[in-house]
Amino acid sequence: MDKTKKHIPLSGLRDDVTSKCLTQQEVLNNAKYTQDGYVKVYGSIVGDIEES
Amino acid sequence: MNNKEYDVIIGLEIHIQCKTESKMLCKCPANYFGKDPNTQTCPICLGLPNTEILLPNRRAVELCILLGLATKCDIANEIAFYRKHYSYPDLPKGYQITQYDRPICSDGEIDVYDEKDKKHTIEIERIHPEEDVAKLIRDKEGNKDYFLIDYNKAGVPLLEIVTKPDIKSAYLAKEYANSIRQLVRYLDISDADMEKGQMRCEPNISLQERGKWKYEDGKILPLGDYSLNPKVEIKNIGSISAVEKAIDFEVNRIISELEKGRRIEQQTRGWNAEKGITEYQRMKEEAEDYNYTPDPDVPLIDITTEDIEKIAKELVELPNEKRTRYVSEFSLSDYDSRVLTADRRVSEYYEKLLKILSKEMPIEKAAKASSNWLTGAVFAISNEKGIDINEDTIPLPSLSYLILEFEKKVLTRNKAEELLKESLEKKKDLKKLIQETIEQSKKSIENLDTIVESVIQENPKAVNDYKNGKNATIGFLVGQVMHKTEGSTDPNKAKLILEEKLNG
Ligand SMILES: [Zn+2]
Repeated sequence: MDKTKKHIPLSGLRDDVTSKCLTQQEVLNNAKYTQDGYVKVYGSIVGDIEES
Repeated sequence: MNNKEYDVIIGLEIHIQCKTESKMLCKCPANYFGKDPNTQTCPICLGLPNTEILLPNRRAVELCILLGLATKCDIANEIAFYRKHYSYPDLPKGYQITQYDRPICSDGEIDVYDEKDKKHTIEIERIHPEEDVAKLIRDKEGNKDYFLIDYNKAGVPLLEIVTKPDIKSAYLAKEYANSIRQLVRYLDISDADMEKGQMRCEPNISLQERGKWKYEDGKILPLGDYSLNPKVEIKNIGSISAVEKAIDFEVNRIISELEKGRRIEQQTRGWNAEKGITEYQRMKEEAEDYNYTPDPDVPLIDITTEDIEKIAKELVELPNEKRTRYVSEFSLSDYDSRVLTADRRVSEYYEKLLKILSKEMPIEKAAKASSNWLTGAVFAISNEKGIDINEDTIPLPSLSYLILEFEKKVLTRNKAEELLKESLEKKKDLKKLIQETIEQSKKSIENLDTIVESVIQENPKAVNDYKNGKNATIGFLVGQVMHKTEGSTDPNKAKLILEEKLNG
């Protein structure tokens, strides 16, 4: 464990509250390809989807 | 073909989505279910350049500690978050915030029961929070592979719960997964609906030759020059029952490979529920394949005894504790206790019903009656009709009234069940239905009384024969009553009234 690192108490973590999100359009504007509201990425990757 | 005997060694990794309002490191809503793709995101969870993450969500850390307390884990007093790096389109930042060598919760345990109801204690190695990844849909356009990405899920807080490799059968693995689901639902940590992806189970399995390995400090170690068979991990398990099916299939597959003298490769396989088989996906990554680095943006977090005591206040009576109490306090069978405690809301409903009934009868009788009605007719009808059992769908005063009138023999079981079904199906007031039925029944008894009188008046010969000892004549008189009521009367009831009048 890094002794020089900053410490905070548990109470110092972020409150569980939500705020506004980007719109779908704003998200898709950053993407090269899109389809039906999804970001589309071309490519073949060996193996299956890593869930987590 | 060889005749070696093998031991099955199973470990289980479970991921649970936390029921928080917001994501782990940003303020996007964590509940994305049913939302259009890419509508629950911000620059942080999209991993856009030059955006700093926020501090971790305190509630997610608290829920992790809560689950740790419920599973008797040690809680660390100082925790660190790490970045787990890998390159895949489901990971917008290129790394996932998780924990590494010192998880919040470690060395826990949970009791599960085998087919013969024997208790097994499953050891939990660690529980830690981390971020979920984006949803990927993989497809092909001619020869071109592509992914469709929805980032709504990216950054939702997950709890990863890892057992030690000490689960000895597919059945126990399923029971363990079921217990974890029950626990997180009891504690309101997650809805843990596997179909919605709120809970995922990934078993890892290895088979070792009997007598050639030992279990020590949560690890499988070889004895002598034996070389251990590697683990196979199974993904894509979509239900609790599939945990057992997938492991059973895989164990048989591995045995048949070993018997053919083949080597088992360390690999990840996917459960194909339709075909009921596991399918090869890829060689399994070792932990070292991921590059873990301490997250420079997240400070170390101190967890004090006061923090833990505060979170412990959220601990409710857990399913296993409740089950033991039902057996000792109410003399219920182990089976009934288990059924009633499987769902926290059902057990709470049960205890409220019991409280009402125990004012009218001894506690043990009330406990048995409440249990019989709930696990019998109420469960059957609610399962058949897909109706939730709660105080809105079946008000407690109504169900307790129904049970009391049944116990007083005012209602037969059939009639009582019929009324319960009618009220649930047609959303009718159960209490009113019962009252109407009792009222009608009183009226028909009054009617019956008049009819019996008229049958006696109209059949003086039969009446005389009966009075002179020809008991069989009562059958003829009952027949007359049945004829006059067009068969709508209970013949036993008619016989009783006739006998009362003729003998009295
Ligand atoms: Zn976000």
